[in-house]
Amino acid sequence: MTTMDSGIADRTISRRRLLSLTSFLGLLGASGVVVWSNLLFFKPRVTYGEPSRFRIGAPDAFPLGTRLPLGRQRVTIVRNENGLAAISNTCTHLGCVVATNEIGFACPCHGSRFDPDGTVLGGPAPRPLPWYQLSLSPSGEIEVDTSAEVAQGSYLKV
Amino acid sequence: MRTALATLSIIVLALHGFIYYEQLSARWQDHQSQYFREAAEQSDNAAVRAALADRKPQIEQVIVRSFGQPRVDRCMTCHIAVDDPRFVKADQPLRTHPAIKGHKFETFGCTICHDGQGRAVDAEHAHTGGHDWPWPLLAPELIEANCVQCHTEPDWPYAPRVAAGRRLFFQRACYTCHTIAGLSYGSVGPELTEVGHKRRASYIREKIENPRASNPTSTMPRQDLQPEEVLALTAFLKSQQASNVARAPLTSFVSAQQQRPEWLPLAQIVGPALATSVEPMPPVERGAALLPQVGCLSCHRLDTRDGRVAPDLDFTAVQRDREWLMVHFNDPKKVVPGSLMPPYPLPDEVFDSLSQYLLSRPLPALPATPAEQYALLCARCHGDKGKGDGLIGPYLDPRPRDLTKGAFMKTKSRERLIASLTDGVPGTSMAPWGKVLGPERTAALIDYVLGTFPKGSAREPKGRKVPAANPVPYAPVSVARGEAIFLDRCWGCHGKKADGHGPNAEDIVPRPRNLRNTPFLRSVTYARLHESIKYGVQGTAMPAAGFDFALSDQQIGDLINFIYSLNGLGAPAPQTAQLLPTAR
Repeated sequence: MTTMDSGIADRTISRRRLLSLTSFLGLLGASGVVVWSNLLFFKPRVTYGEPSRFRIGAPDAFPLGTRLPLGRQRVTIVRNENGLAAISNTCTHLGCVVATNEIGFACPCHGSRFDPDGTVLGGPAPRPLPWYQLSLSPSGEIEVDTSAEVAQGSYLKV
Repeated sequence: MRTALATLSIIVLALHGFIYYEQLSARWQDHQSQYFREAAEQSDNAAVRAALADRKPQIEQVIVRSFGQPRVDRCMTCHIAVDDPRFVKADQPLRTHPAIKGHKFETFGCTICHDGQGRAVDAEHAHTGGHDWPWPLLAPELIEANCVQCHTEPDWPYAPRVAAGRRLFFQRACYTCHTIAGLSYGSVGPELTEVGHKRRASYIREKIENPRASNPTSTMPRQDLQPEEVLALTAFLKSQQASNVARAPLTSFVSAQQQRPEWLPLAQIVGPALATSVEPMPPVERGAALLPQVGCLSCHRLDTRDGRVAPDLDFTAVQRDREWLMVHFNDPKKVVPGSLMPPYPLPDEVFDSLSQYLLSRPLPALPATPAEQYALLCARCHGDKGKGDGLIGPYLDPRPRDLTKGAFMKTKSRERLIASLTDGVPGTSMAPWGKVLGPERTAALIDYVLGTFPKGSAREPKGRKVPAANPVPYAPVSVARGEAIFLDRCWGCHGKKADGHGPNAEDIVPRPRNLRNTPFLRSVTYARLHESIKYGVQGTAMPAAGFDFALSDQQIGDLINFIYSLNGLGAPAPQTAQLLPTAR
């Protein structure tokens, strides 16, 4: 007891003040954790939508020159001499599914036009079509991650 | 005070931190990290390694919409290596799933084959589903039950266990009691059309192994099954889900009983091959071929096969005639009202073949001494020690007589006992053994029984005055008076329906007589009924109503008129024993 008392006295902090400080910090920390953990509810770990990451098969399934729209997952798989890419099929204007044509993409709702890389050529669309990240899964299949956008022109070399 | 507050605040902080940590860190994150690490080590492709290095653990899910209700399967959150061929030898959960042609995880998910709770992301809830979840992870040997939900072809070769279970369902006579829509139309036991959807495999298995395990009042006979047979039946029943994805949903709600046919096609019961091969046979041979296949021996005994539930068929040839057998096949309750045996959904031609085969069988040789005869003929029901607790005793109604009760046995005349053994007791499972034994051996057997089993003393019945015929003529007034007396004095044991199931009956052995047992009442003389009511029956719970309740002979006559009215017997009371009711 005596050593502890003298230690506190040396640092000129009273026992009363130390206890107040500890209580304050403890309660502050606890309320911080409570607020933080409640805020986490706003971002669920998983929802019942289509999974954002999915496999589309081995690279061999997409020969050079492929432009294959996948209806359910709303991406178009493109393969050219640069490699593989996945371009969104969702119009950046109001969310219609765009069609692929010889120019690139065309939105049937309000007439937006995009070139083969998704750059806006005309119509009301405000932004180019986003590109999604592609990776090679350990089982050797191509994996698309629609939760991660990448810059236009970033191809996966296979 | 301040010390306490400071300590408490630190404890609260630690507690919050701990809960936060526990809720946000899960085992699946460790499994995924381990997989990313090991997969990167095993990979020789830089792109793959780079992709793995970027990946953070996250909940993986497949949403299956193609098969009935949408399923959300998150199994791959832990079992993340299912489609990575390099993890064949790894420990679970990181093991490769064997590839099944045409079944991609992205389309089928996991729970459609394996069951379990797809949404859960911790092992316990995902595998068992928690309390009351009807579809915990299916044992590998039962997975066939889910394959056949889509592969409904009757001869699909990859579900041998379900096919074997289906054969057993008919061979073991399950179909006679239970309904499975489209397969069978029994109305004795619960309907099993959806049993695989409603019950866990473990429950089904337990019920098959021991019907009374979870329901002590079940009357389902316990079948003598090999473990492999139990497994096959479990797989077959687990496959009965009605919510079959190949079926239109509405049709599964149409009650099977509405479509109930009078009988089932033989091919459905014994399989098409046997059904066609018995077609040209003469009736006796056809009966011999069909008897083991349609389920009789799943309860009865014949030669070496014994279902251990129902009487011996070895002596049927002389005990019964064709008329009796045909009535019994069509509705066993017509001749034995308490019979456990369900009416068989078979055409009359099959009954005829079975009857002719049973009647054509030679009688087994009888042993010489009464003791051996008792062991062979009587012990199956009455028990080795004569206590009425033989092998099949519990399944019979009324129960076999307890031969050790001196009070009962010693007050009955030797002639009456000999008559019961010779002619049997109609309306019960006691068969006319006199036809097997002949008069001398019957008398010797009764002497053996009387000399061996009865214990305890009996009051000598003396000075009994019993009218030979009913003193009260049969008339609606008399029946109404009798009913009033019955509802005053008798229903506590005999039950308000007079079926022997009164509130006091459960503890009474032998059970109170079922007064709606028409074949029995038809066989009993008026005098015997009157005597039993007036003086009671020694060795049973039946009191002497003539004295305890002070009923006069007239009142007893009213009572018996009431009992006759329940059975459509009316007056005049039959004086002679009749074996058979009129054919249906």
